[in-house]
Parts: sequence; C-alpha cells; structure tokens
Amino acid sequence: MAITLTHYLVLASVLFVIGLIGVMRRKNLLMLFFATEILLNATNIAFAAISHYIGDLSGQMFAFFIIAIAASEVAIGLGLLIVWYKRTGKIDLDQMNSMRG
Amino acid sequence: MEHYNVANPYFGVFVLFVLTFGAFYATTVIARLASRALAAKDTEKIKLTVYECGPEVTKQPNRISTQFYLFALLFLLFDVEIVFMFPWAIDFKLLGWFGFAEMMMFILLLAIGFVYAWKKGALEWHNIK
Amino acid sequence: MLEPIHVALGSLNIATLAPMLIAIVGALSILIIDLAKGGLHKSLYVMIALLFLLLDLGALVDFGGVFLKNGTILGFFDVMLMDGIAILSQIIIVVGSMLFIPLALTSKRFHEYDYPEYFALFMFMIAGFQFMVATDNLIMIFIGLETASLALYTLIALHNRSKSFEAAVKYFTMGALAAGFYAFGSMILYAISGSVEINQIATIMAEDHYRNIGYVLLSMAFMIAAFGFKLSMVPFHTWTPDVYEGSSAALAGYMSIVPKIAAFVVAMRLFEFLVHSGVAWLQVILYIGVVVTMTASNIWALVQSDVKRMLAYSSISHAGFVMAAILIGTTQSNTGLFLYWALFSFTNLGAFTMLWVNRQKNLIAGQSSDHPYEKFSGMVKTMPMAAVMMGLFMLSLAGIPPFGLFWGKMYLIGSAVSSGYTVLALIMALNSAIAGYYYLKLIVFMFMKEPIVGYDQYYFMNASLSLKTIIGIAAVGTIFAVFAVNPLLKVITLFVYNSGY
Repeated sequence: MAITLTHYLVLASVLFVIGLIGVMRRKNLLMLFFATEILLNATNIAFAAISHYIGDLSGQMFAFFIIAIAASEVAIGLGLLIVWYKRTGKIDLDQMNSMRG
Repeated sequence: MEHYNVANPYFGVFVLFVLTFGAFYATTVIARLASRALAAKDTEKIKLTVYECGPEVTKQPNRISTQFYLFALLFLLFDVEIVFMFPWAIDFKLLGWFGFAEMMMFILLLAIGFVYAWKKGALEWHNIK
Repeated sequence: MLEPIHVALGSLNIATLAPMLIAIVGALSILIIDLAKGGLHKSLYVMIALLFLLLDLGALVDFGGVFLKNGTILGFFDVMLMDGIAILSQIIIVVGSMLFIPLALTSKRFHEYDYPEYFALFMFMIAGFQFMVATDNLIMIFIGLETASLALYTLIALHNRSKSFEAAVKYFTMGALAAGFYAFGSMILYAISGSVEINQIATIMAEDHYRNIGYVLLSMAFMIAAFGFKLSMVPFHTWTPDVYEGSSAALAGYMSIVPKIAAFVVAMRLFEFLVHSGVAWLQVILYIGVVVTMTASNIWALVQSDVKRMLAYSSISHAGFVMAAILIGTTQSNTGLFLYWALFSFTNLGAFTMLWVNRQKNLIAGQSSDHPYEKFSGMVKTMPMAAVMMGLFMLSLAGIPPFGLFWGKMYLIGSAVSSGYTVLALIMALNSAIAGYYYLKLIVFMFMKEPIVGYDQYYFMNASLSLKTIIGIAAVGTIFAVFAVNPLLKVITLFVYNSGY
C-alpha cells in the first residue's frame, strides 16, 4: 500500500489530539510543555507533507519557523519553570491557585 | 445570510439573552465535566512509584542542579538556529551575495545574543554549595 | 548549472521594514549600553525607549503620507504589507507604548525596572506587534505574535511576586495552546489553497467557489480559538482576570490595549473576506461569540470585589463589543473599531494608572486583594482630585455622554444599525447599560461612603511627576475627545477605506 498525503495528515491530526489531551490532562508543568511541543510538531509533519505534495516550498518554510518558535517557547517556559521551582519547590499546576473569583 | 428578521426586535434580544445564559451555563458544565473526565487522579501512591525490582525505592541523594537546565536552554536556542542556515547552505551558490549578506546579518544578531549571554555570566558554572 | 539569482535592492523596498527595525535597534542598543556600562538609572532607559519610539512614530507618519498618495506599499518579497489598517494600528501600538513606558518612573523602587532587559524586551514586544499587523503572510503573523507574546510572558514574570509568576505561567500555557491552534489552523488553510498569504488564499477559495467549505470552517474554528485566547473572547477568557491580577497594574493596562489591537487587525484580515463572501456559519459563530463575550463577562464583572479584576472583566466585555465590528464588516464599522480603540486606550490608560499609583506593598489586615472596592471608599474626602479623576475614567468607560468612549460606542452601534443588525445594536446598547452599574459602584464607593482608616496612607504613594503627567494626559484625552472625534473619524475613514476594508 502506498503512503499518500492522507496518511501524513491523519498522523498529524492524531498527534495533535494527543498533544491536546496532554495539555488538558497533565498537571505537571514539564509534561505540559512536552504536550505543547507535540502540538506544534504535529503541525510540522503536516506542513512538510503538504509542501511536498503540492510542490511549494512555503510550507517547509513555515515548518522551519515553527521549529525555531517552539524552541524559544521551550526556553521561556523552562526559564519560568526554574524560577517557579526555586520559589515553591514544586512544578504542579494544582499549586497555582492563589487567585480566585 | 439573511439578518435576523424577527417581528419584534425585543423578542430577539430576549432569545439571545436566553441563548447567552444557556451557552454560559453549558461552557461551565462542559469545562467541569471535561476536566473531571480528563484530570489525572493521583490516588494510588504505590501505582505511581518507580519500580526498582522489589527493593524499596530510595530517594535520589543528589538533586540535579537547575544550572543544567540553563545550559540546556542556551544550547537549545543556539542549536535550533541551524534550521535557518541549512537551506541557505544547500542553495549557497544560487542565493549569491544577497543570501550571503542576509545570513551574515542573521549571524551578527546571534552573535550579539551570544556576547550578551556571555557577559551576563550565563555560561559560567556557579559553584554549588 | 543554475544561475545565481540577483535581487535588486530597490525592488525590495527595505523601507517597509524601517518602523520595526527602529524598535529592534532601540532594544539592541539598550542591551549594548548595559553591557558597556552597567548600573545606570532606569530613567535613561526610559528616555532611550521613548526616543526610538518617537523615531518609529515619525517613520509611520511618513508611511501614512506615502500611503495616501500611492496606495498600499508592498516590500521584501511581498511579505511586508503597509496598508491603511497596518499603519493605523501601528500608530495606536506605538503611541500606546509611549504612554505606558513612562509608568516605569515610579517613586517606589521596583525590582523589574532595575533590569535594562525590561525595556529591551518591551521594545522587542512592540516590534513583534508591528510585524504582526504589517503583513498578510501567515508565517510572518505567527512570528510576530510569538515574539510579542514570549516577551510579554517574561515581562509579567519580572514583577517579583509569586502571583506574577503564577500569572506568567498561566498565560504561557494558554498562549502555547493558542500557538498550536494557530499553526494547525493555518496548516489546514495551506492544505486547501497551497498558499500562506491571506489575499491569495481568499482569491483561490473564491475561484473554486468554496468547494472545501467544511475544511475552511474547521480551520476558522482553530483560528477563532487561537485569536479567542489572544482577544480573551468567552469561553477562552479564563486566563484574563488571573493574569491581570498577577501582573503589575501598568502592564495589565498595557495588556488590555496593545496586544488586542494587533489581534483585532489580524482577525480583520482573516475573517473579513469570509464574512463578505457569505459563509453563514462563520457569521453565526462570530455572532454568538460576540454576544456571549459581551454579556457573560459583564455578569462576571458585576460580582467582582476587586477593582482590578472588575477592570479585567470589563476589558473582556469591551473586546467583545469591538469584535462586533469585525462581524458587521463594513467600512463604517471598521472605522468604528479603530476610533473605539483609540478612545478606549486613553480611558483605560487612566484607570490602570490610577490603580498603579495607589499600589501598596503589603495588604492591611482584613484586605482580601490588592485593590478591593473598600480601598477607594470615601476617597473624595481624603484626595478629592484623585477621586474626581478616577470617577471621570469610570464614567467614560460606562459611556456617559460627553466623555471619550461614548462617541466610540455610539459610532459602533450606529454602524450596526445602518447595516441592518438591529438586534445586535440593541444587545450592545443593553450591555453598555449593564456595564454602567459596576462602574458606578466604584463611584458610589468613592463619593458616598465614609473613608476606611488605613487605606488613605497608600493613596498616590507610588506617584511621581511623570505618572501624574500620564494621568493628566489620559484625563485630557478623555474629556476633550469630543473635539477630536470628527477629525479622527475623517483620517481613520480615509485610511480604512483606501485599504479596502
């Protein structure tokens, strides 16, 4: 069976849903960052596949920029996480409930 | 699409207010149900502990310093920029001087970032007590 | 052997990058000055930032002149797009930033302003917003959005309180999710059209008569979710009150204005062509979104006990109000959007600065949050001038006639009526009436109640001459808006009409 564009798109959608469930389900901040990375990289797969399929390079360009942005997002996120960990000793989202209303 | 042609505009207002409250209520209920269904329940402590072939798990004696994270973070940032140099390197001849000038500008910006990180002491390994 | 390509520098139109480059050069020079000589006073950095923003504004005004003469300017392989709404929104962004940066010159010492990085990040953020509005390339919008958002998360976290970190982390997780949604939505658009430029996507879709309408709607659902997070539309608003409460009042005020105008412009570019082509479902979704956002956030605002949280919910409600302009989608309503936001930024600047000058370091006994209503109780007896100012901003937010926001509200509701959305206009008017209640509640506290001992020592504790000047500017802008509305409207209509919106 030949692998077509549809397979890649289905793979991307499945990964996206996995990432989405991860964002909703995970309470650990580090795991939550993993989930957002899965979200963005699922899109990367789809972009590269579509770009090859229609023979246009801008999709691959988009994928490159998503990679760079995902990296800087992780950098900022880890920075926040380190400060948060130094302050509280925990990286649990349930700990963040000082504001209500 | 046709605009909402309701005979009495106030009736439309009423309907939309009811809809608003309905949607408002529905979002809260859905959010609550979804989070209840999806949330990780850490009730069973033993199930979540690390399995170490029988003996009781010992706590890790030395915690990893957060300094490692800082290094990993800087490495990641500078490492990922290769993504932009790679296509340029492949079509280096095709892109000519214009591409070269652009890439030099890009590297210059990276260098400013690097010098900044260096001067701020982010690359020094602080002694751990 | 392939021939190397030659790019004529003239065809690039590098000048279209000038406004953003000025902001970036400003940021870099702040960093370099810090490297060369550390420990300088924050006022120097404020001055440098203001100077570069002034240059930026000059470049934008220049572009405005060129635009009115020659029409839309494209540049840099058609990635940069300087049309009327790009120039207008950039002017609002830069002027808003120029008014918010001096709020760093407080009389109290704050941890974050000791770092020059604060101002550098601020400039990077402004450049990010400018990139976001001055393009119709989905890649460029994404980069601008993320540059600005990542800088903003860091700025929030720099305010050294545990609530600020909490706010930054919450905003960050929501923002990361929104970025994922945006990327996925633009992936679907790319899959069905093979292009990443919004105007080309629109042309291609119109050519095949919206054959893939199901996928278009799916991608629009993702886009609405992504921009719903940025614009804090209900039900994607959950982060807003927490983030506003956690960050400093100065930054919270900034967040309620500048990021939103940038997101509005992108939403305008993205949704407008679909609204015009009669894609009914998108209209219905937007209609419900607008009504729910306005009404639900007003109801939440009614029950708040903290003025800052109340203002957070009120800014959600205002965003919903303005989102109606994108739903209506006529030149008149889009003009109304910019007019409303320009007037709103002055009023909200004043309101949040009033909170900022009354900031207290420690809560007194029995105080539940930073700015409860009781804090302002009987303010007219201890500081009559301050109470009058705060009352003025509240009246303007409520839309009481002679003050700023009334004209914006009237123009927007008028545009809704004239394009046949009578019901929507009624809902907008009704919501303004509901909103009046919680703004008047603060006025009642200030003017009718007895002072509570203990709070008065914090009034204007954080004030300095520059902060008072900012409050003065905001007050002048709010009171005398009545004279500025007509000329403003003329200019805005000219810009909006000529860019085809």
